[in-house]
Amino acid sequence: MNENTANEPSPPLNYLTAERGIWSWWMSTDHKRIGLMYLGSMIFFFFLGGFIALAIRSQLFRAGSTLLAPQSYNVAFTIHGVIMIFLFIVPGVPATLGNFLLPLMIGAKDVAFPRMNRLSYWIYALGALFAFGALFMGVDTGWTFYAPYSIQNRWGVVTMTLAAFVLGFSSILTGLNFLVTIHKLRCPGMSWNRLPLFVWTLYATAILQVVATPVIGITLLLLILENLFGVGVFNPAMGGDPVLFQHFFWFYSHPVVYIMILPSMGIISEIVPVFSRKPIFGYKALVAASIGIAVISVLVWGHHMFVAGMSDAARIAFSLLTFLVAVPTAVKVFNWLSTMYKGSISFESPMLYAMAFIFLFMIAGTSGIHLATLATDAHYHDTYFVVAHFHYTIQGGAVIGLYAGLHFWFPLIFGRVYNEKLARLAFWMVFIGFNGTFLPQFALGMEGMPRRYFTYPAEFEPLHQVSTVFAFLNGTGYSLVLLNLLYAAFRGKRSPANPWGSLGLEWSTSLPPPHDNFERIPVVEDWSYGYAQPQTAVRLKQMEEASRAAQLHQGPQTPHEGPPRHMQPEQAYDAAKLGMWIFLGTEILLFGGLFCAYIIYRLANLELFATASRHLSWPLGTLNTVILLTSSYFMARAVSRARSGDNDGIIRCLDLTLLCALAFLVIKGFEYAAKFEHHLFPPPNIYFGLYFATTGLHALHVLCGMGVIVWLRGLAENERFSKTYFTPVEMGGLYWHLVDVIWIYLFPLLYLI
Amino acid sequence: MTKFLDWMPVAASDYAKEVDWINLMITTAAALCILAVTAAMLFFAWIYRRRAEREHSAYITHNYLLEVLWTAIPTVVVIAVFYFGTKSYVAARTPVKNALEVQVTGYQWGWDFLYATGKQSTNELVVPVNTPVRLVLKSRDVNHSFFVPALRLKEDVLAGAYHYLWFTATRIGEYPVFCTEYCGLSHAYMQGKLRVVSQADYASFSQIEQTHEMPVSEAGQQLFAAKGCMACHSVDGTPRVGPTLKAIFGREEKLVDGSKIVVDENYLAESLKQPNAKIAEGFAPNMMPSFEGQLSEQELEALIAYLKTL
Ligand code: HEM
Ligand SMILES: [Cu+2]
Ligand SMILES: [Cu+2]
Repeated sequence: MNENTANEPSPPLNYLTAERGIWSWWMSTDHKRIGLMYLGSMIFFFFLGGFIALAIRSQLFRAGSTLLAPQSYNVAFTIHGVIMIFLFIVPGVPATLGNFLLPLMIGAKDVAFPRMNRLSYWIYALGALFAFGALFMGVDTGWTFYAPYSIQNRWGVVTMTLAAFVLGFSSILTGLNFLVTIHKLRCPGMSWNRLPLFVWTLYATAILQVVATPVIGITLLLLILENLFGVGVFNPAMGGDPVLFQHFFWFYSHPVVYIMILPSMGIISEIVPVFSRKPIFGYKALVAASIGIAVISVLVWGHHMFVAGMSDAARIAFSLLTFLVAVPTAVKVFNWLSTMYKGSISFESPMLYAMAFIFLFMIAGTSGIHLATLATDAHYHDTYFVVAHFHYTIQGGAVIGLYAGLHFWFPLIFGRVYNEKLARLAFWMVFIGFNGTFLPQFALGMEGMPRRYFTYPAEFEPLHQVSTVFAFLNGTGYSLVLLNLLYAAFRGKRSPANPWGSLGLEWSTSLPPPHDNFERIPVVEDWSYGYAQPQTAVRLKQMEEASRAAQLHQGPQTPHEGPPRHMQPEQAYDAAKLGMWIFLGTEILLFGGLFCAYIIYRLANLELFATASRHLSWPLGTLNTVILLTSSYFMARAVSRARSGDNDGIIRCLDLTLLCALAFLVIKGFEYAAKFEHHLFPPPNIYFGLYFATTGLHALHVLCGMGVIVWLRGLAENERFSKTYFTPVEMGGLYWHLVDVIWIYLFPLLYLI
Repeated sequence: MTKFLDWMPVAASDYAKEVDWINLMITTAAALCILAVTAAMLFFAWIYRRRAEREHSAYITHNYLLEVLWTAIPTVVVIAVFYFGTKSYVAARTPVKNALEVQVTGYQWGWDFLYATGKQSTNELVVPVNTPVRLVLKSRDVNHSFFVPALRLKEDVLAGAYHYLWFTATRIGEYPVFCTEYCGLSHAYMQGKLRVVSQADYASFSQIEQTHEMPVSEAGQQLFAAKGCMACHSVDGTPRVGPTLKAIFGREEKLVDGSKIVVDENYLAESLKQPNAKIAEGFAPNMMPSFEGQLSEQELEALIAYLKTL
């Protein structure tokens, strides 16, 4: 990319050319580069997953086909699901376009925590590595990892779930970063009611990422422990409850479908006004719908379990709540439609994708109604109808939205334009191929064809054949999109400033933007949907000029380390604090999941828990509680020393905290040793399973906290803190207190009652 | 309606026809909505297409009346759908008294059926027409799901708890049965058959050759005596150390903590394995020994079958 731009006349420096070499990308904290790296990795996985999908479709072309061996087929659909969900569409739009555009759209120089952003990509890469490893280990559980099939001590499942766990971490970091960025880094004039709708959907998504992901984290962790040591929680043979796994799993995995779709809806809300040259219709309704969807979506997970043996009352309640989620979805469709009314509409490829999205998403949403209805879902559950439904939502919705956005912002990202004719051709191939693949699957579902079958009775064959043929058209279409965009990214014609005539703030900088986005932090005077007004033309002209001027003023900017330079000091402090509180929230949710499991099993096995808890030594537990409380006291002292600028004081207090932590771990070690001696490990029953899971996880947190303290101590020794700057000490302190508070809950639960 | 919207297989019960009706109603309404919005979208796209670069478009930002309308109308519609869907489904799940009972055991990879007479069959469930049937589902290993497309019904089959299905087949014939919860290698081969036969045919089918096999409940009765349950539980209504087991099944039991519970298989199994988990009102805890580990699955099932006859 770099060489090519260098060959052209007067290369303007931008984020792409600011620095050269793979290493400069890997180490970059620039949100635009990180977004692009995500995009590259994800597109790779999208095509890998798509390739496997074609293998699956080929096997299904004929009833009784033996193209793939049964086991290969089962592995293939598992890999396909895991790749598409965890490696592609869950990071999805937020990690790619979101990362790239969020700061540009709210007039900031970067996200709140650029280094955390880079860390989230690194973690993603690590997770991808694990997942890649697991690909070769023959995991065949499906992406849902239902217990007890998934707890038959197989390293493949452990590796795969570890990958999903790690990827969840990356997702939380992105969500946290976005929340803080949106709260603290909006430029002057960018009030909440002018916030672009894409940003609003990123906001709603980020909330879901932060709230739901910790729960899948703890679920996967328990599943891993179950495989390694036999905790018993999900194992009916040990009195565990396989349905609990499903509850935990869907508590995350339902909201996650809205994590996938909401940002794509935001993209549609950006594109339709630009190409209709009309303000977005019902801005407030669209915002309310996004938030509404986010809120309701954490209350409906049970609709994946209508026939899993829940009480009839629960089935009815979850059914009703699920219906409610359809309403805000419908509201969005009507508002997009009305935006086109009396517009001046043109139909370049982004608009084609946007209109396709609206059409496809209606099919997706209304098929959701079939599934929310108890009477019909009992027929449709786990058939091809569900397969068709979620491909319409995810591929027809989330992916088509992503492609709409890619085509729309392509000139901004690369400063070049793609071949529009080819883009339209590819669009029609994708659109027809997609519908041809998945419409027949609705019919198959009606007929009763179950999912995850490598072979099927002959009467299902004709529809399967149609589906397979169109799947290849679909795949060819996507390949054409890729080739077109890839070629354009390197060789495309230079894009003129603001090629679509958008009023979005992101278009007022150069194409592609400089490393720091804006020369000066912009000041916003109107929302970005003010089309069809007398002053619109003038504003567009100003934006174009600003964009051209930005081209002339660019110099090389090296990504930097150290205290943030893209924020004011107070802003940085506020951001750090908000970020820390959100992080603590996710920790609480993580342990919350464990506490839930504990309480559920305790209530179901009162006797077992009461007798088993007598094996614990409450004097040691009490001692440990006192030690932790003392450590909290020293930590608080360290913060107050920091506040008065007493560097030696900080070091002294941190040392004492560290000492307490060490004492805690040593005592814990003795306790564990005693349990080992009494053969209470591997755990003989759920009580000890939960005992080791909770206290072990807590001990791990203590260890992390000690790492933080050591790091703070190092900073203090280098005299990095002052009366005015001691944010890290304060944040470290908050974390340490949380670790103690969790123990305060654990102690009575495990030792005393 | 045409085949275009409705691909449902033959219906083998009245409930299935009801489901088809609800399904068709939803599909039709959905199709109409999609058509209407798509037509409007294409219409707008056509008449408001950009003809000239500088062209007037209207500055319209919102309309509260419209917002309220298109929030309220879908809400009403979905609640109506919810109502119909729930009503039928709940009716189909309401226990029918004196239903014919079949124990269904799912395993990797097949189905076993055990009838009240002691008759057994594998991968083929035979039921009489026009007779309420109650399936008691249980898995021997991982999760499965018992799906009969012709009945429009399925229910997961799990280890660790009994699940139920009720239905009344009204059409004689043979219908496919699928496992719809992924259960490993041969999940796709876990197919069975539902054979709905006339009541006379069923009577002859379910009869077992009078050899050493005996009805399940009879085996349960012998266990009841052998394990000494009699010492504390009467079967004629007189209270002893423990509650009487007369008419225990389906009865509403009041517990010491004040809650009420309807006695079903899960409750009975729990009472045998963990007697102290739920104590009936008027009785003390720690009286009954746990039979956890002392009864095989078959013995447990036999005992429960016997208790149901009381
Ligand atoms: C109108 C809105 C929606 C409604 C009412 C709805 C309803 C449902 C219901 C009831 C199910 C469970 C079906 C079953 O397993 O029997 C389901 C499955 C599913 N839905 Fe939706 N849905 C909606 C939108 C979405 C969206 C926006 C997405 C994703 C972007 C999505 C993705 C999925 C997925 C992935 C599954 C199946 C997961 C699996 O079993 O592997 N849905 N939906
Ligand atoms: Cu869901
Ligand atoms: Cu199965």
